[in-house]
Amino acid sequence: MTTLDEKILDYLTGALDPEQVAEVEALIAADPALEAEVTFHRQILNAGENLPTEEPPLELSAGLMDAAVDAIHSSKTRSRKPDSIWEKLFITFTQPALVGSMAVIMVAVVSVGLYQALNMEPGSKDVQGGGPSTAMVEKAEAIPPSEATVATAADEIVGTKDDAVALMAEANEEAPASREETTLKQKVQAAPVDSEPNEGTRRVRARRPSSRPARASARKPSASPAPVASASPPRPKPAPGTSGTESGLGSRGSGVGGGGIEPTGALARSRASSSYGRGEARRAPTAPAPAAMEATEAPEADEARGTRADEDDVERLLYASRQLGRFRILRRARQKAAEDLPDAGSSIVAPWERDLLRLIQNKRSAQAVKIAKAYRANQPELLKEALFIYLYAEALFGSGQVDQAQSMALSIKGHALYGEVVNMLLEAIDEGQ
Amino acid sequence: MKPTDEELMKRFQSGDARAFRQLLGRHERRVYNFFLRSFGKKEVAQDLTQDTFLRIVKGKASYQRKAKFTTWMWRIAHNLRVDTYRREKFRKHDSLDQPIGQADEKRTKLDMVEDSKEIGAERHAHGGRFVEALAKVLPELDEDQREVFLLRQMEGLSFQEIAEIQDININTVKSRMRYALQKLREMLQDFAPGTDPN
Repeated sequence: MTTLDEKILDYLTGALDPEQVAEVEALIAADPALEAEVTFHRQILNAGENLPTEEPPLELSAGLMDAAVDAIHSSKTRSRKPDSIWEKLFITFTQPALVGSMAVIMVAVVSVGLYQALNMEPGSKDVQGGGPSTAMVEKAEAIPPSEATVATAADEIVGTKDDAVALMAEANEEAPASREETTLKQKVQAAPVDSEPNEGTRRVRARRPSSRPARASARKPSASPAPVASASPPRPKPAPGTSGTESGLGSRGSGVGGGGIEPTGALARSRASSSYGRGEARRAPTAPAPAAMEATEAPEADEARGTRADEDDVERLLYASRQLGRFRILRRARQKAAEDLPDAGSSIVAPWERDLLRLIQNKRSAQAVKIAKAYRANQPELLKEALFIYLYAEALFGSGQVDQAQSMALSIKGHALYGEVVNMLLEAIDEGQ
Repeated sequence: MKPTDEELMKRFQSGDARAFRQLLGRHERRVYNFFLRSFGKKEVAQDLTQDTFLRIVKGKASYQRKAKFTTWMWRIAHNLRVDTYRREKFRKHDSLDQPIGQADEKRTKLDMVEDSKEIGAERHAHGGRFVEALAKVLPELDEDQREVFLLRQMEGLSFQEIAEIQDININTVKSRMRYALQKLREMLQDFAPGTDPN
């Protein structure tokens, strides 16, 4: 084992001052063995500077840009100043503390009023006068309202406000999604062909007429009749003519408040990777024009096949968007699980969860089914995990095994945490059928 | 004149998504390759790169311009790396991820260690192959030493910056670098001048 002199290493890593450098260089010059040693170490350091690097996948950037745009959008929504005096008044009167105080006062007044009405003799002066007398008010102030009544009323008011905030957040998210859906077809028509050999590229390349015949013939029969010939992997089809908006994509799929940014974990990852369609669409303007790309193809064949390809891509993106919607809800459920059961390790993403999410979102559903089976064989206890069953069902659905997917999903229908997303999956399965 | 990272971050803070795109363009590849060299798996590198930038997005309001953007970014990356190692360490079941990945993702850390044993067969093949050999033995380094080596050599950060990122004394950083070099020297012994190729 070679023990290196500390000073030599400091010299090599540039950690010495000029005087010390001169001193070390003199030493090196006087000792050929040391010189060879220093040269070799320098070679290692140089190699470290020249380690080969790789390009990150394109969908990663697309997902991150989506997150950044969402963050800007949500922060603008939160920080927007009220325009009118009515808005200012509304905001003032919807402050939690104020709402709580008002609730207490209202409940107190109502309680006192009821109390008075029940205890007041008919025809008494106070009642006949049409309003509370000073004595009544004094009496009312002296009577404390029931604590439970106040708490319930306050909870109701706060709950209503939260619901409103959530609805507003949903509406804010819904708008871009709806716009996106309505212009989706146009975007797909102008879609790019990337030069990077990654998942995103493969998806885009599926549109190229030259690769269509082989891919179309290789397609497996799906449980649901396909409206058009497809070059994509087998997957459930939306009902013909169903748009994203019509199918509830915006309302159901974007139901996450707070701008949709996630800090960490596979569920956060799911968002970015499952938003590939949006990312690709956004990259469209910078990509080569499809006309130039397919210049060598016969124009009439292009036209016919191009239409099918467009429909195909729209369909695929719609499916991905719906799935994204489900996974957003799933993410919320997972967050809740992590908050409720922090000690149970629910915030830690298990390998099977990460693997299945990744495969499903990368449209490798058949592979996801395979790996789910492997996990099930390896860890039979997973069949008691609702999340595992849900992801298994999602994988089965994605790979066209609709009946199995449905029976899997039905087995966890009504689950406390994942019930909502399971219902959405079942609806999607019904639509597919 | 190109805007600095700090200027871009300020623009992003005030709602300019294009500024974030520029930041992403400058640093995404670097962060991705840092994680790729740290863990040897594309999938993990992709996830952690994403988490790093999502944290930047989420924490944009807390970023103060007086801090250097890259130091802030690498600190986030460092924390994620440490958390991930910790989690991997306590994981009960091994991931079945490896056998199902794409062809180039099938390799495991074990494979890389095995490869490093075969490096002797490639001895004295300098230049590009020396770099390849270094890449293969890097996973064998202690994680903290490897991080110092990568940040210093791949990213060109100063020892002071690395000390801030890792929140440790600068002398500890230098010490880690020394140990890293020393270990690499041992692992790449076959490439040393004067070594008999046979």
